[in-house]
Amino acid sequence: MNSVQVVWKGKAVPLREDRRFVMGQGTYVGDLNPSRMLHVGILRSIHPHAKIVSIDTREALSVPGVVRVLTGEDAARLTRPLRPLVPLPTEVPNYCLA
Amino acid sequence: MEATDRVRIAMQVNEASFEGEVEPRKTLADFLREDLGFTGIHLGCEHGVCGACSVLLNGAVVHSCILLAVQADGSQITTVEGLSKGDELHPMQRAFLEHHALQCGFCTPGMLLAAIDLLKHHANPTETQIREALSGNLCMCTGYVNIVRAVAAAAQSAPAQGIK
Repeated sequence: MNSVQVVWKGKAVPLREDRRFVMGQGTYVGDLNPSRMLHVGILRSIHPHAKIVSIDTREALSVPGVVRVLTGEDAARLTRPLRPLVPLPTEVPNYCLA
Repeated sequence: MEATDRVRIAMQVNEASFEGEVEPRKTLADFLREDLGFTGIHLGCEHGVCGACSVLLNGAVVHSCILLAVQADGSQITTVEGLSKGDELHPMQRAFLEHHALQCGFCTPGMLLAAIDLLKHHANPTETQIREALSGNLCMCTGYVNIVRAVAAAAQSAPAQGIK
């Protein structure tokens, strides 16, 4: 068996990926541009503490180019509650937040 | 003029000429990334805090996310893509590689440009000056120690005329 003594300890190892990063050629989520990609805008409540009675999305839907308006009701309908990572003191289901 | 009326602008980016038609509200960062394809400019915070969008505008480092594209009409821009000459890296890029001054690389383009701007004004900066000059650029990976080392090493190794 050929064995080569290589001492790795204490050595700086040049990283393969760094060259593209210092040249600005990394690809991050914001650089992805698949065909038919849609963009999302998040509208948060303007009230710090309030009970949601209803959300009227008609005006937003009428804006040209708007494909869909999703509310918390849709999130509850389309997704399952998140699995709690820590024990929660309540049984309230924990849905995804924007 | 309506906010959605398009404005013709022209600028030099990395020594090449570009023209475009933009809404007046479009940021310089979005113009450079979306219209011209310079995706080495990164958008972290989009309000001038993180520095990932840094470019050189007429030689001075600026946050391109809080400038409008129309404000840069007629200017000269350098982005990270303009630092290397072909395969030959800029001395600051080499120093970042050699000193492991990056991990995920998201902040790196802004760091490089801010550091280059510093060396134009202080050829042999102290650690305090380096940290001050990079204070507008946030890095969530490295803890900054190797970045500061890299900038100091670039200042030592690069001939002054090499830092442009």
